[in-house]
Amino acid sequence: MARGFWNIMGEIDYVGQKKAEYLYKVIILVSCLIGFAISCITKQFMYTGYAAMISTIVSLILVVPPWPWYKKNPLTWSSKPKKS
Amino acid sequence: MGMMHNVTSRFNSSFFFGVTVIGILAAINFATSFAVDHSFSASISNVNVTKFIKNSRYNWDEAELTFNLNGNFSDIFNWNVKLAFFYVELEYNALERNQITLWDKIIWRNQNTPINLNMIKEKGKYAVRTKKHNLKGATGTVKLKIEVTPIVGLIYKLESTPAFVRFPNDYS
Amino acid sequence: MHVVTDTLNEFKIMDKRRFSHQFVNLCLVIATALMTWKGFMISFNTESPIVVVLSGSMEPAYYRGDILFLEMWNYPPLQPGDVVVYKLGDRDIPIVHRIMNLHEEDDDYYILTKGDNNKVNDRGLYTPGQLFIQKKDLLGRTWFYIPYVGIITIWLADYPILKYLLIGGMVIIGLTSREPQS
Repeated sequence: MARGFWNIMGEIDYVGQKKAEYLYKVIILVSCLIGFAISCITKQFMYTGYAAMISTIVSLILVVPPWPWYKKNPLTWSSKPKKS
Repeated sequence: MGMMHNVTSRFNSSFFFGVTVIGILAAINFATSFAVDHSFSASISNVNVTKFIKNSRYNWDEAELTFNLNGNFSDIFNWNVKLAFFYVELEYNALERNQITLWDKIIWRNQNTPINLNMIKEKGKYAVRTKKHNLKGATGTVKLKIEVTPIVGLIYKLESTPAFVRFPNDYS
Repeated sequence: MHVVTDTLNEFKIMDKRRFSHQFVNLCLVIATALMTWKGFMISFNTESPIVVVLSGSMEPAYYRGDILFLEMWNYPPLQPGDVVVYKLGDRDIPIVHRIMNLHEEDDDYYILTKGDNNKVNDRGLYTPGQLFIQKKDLLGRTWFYIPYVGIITIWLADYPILKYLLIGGMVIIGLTSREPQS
C-alpha cells in the first residue's frame, strides 16, 4: 500500500474507496438537483450552473487527494509462513 | 462507477460525473424549450423610400427607408432564451436574391426586457447599399426577423408577416 | 517527496512490454479523439465543426470562451441574421460575425458582415478594396451554442506553460498508471 499523502498513485483502502465514491455522487447530485429546482422556480438557468460547478470543485477537493480518513481500514495481510 | 484506487481515476470519476450531471440538466433545459410555441404579434407598415441615389464610384444604388414597427414579444422570451437579435430586413428580387439589413437591436431576457416595440417613422439604422444598379423600379418586402440565442441549444429564427415596398423608377 | 521517487520508480521498473502496452493505450486514446473530430468535420461539411469564440466583437450574444457548432450545408440557405465564421484570404484568424447583407449572383454569395458589438460593418477588416466576402471565405454557420465551456482553450492559448504542464502531466500519468491488480 502506498505510503504517505504525497504519492503519485494516491491509493486508499477499499472501504475508503467506497466512501469516496458515495461522497462525490451525493454531493454533486444533491447540489445539482437543488440548483435545478431553484432554476425551475426562478426560471434562471444560472443556479444549476453554479450548483454544478461549486459541487464538483468541492467533491474534487474532498475525494481526489488520499486523505487519511480514507485509509482507516488497511488490508490485514496474513503473516509470512514459517519455512519448515 | 468502478475504479477509485488511484488519484487519476478518482479525479476522472468525480469530475466527469459533475460534467455528466450538468450536461443532462442542460439538455433537459434545452429539450423542454424545444417545442414551445413561438408565435408573436408584430407588424411592419408604412414603408417609404426617402432617398434614392446612384453611386457611380462603387457602382451601386443607395437608398434610405423609413418604416413603422409595432409588436408584443413576451412569448418569445422563455426560460431557455439568452437574448434575441431583432432585425428588419429588406428583400428585393432583381433576378436573384438580395437581402439587406435596415435596422437591428439586441434585446436580453431580464427584468427590463422591453417586450413591446412601438416605432413610428423609424429611419433605417443602415443605409441600403446594393451590389449593382438594380434597384430602380424594383419591388421588395420588408420583414421583422428575430434570431434567438438560447442559453444552451439550437439557434433559431422567427419572422413577421412582410410589408411591401416599391422603389421609384428614377433616382431622386 | 514521495511523488518524485515513486514516479521515477515507475519508469525504472518499466520493461519494454509494459511500456509498449501503455504507449499503445495512449495512441488508442489519441486515435479515438482524432476519429471523433474527423467524423464531425464530415457530418457538418466544414473543416471547423466546433469553434471557440476568441474575440468580444459579438458580445453580448457570444463571449470569449463560448462554443459554437458550425455547419456548411447551406440548408436553409444563408441569409442576413445568420452568424457565420469566416477567414480572410491568407490570414489565420477566424472571425465570428453576423451577416448583414447578402447578394446572390452567379451561383455565389456576396456577403457583408458586421460584429454585433462593432459600430460599423466589416469592410474595414476585409482586404483593401474588397467589398464583400464570398462562399470560399466561409467556414460555417452557427447552429448550436454552449456557453463558457471553451474558456479552457483560451487559458491554454494565453498561457502556454499550462499547455506544457497539461500535456506533460497527461503523458506521465498515461505511461505510469497501472491497473489495480498489477
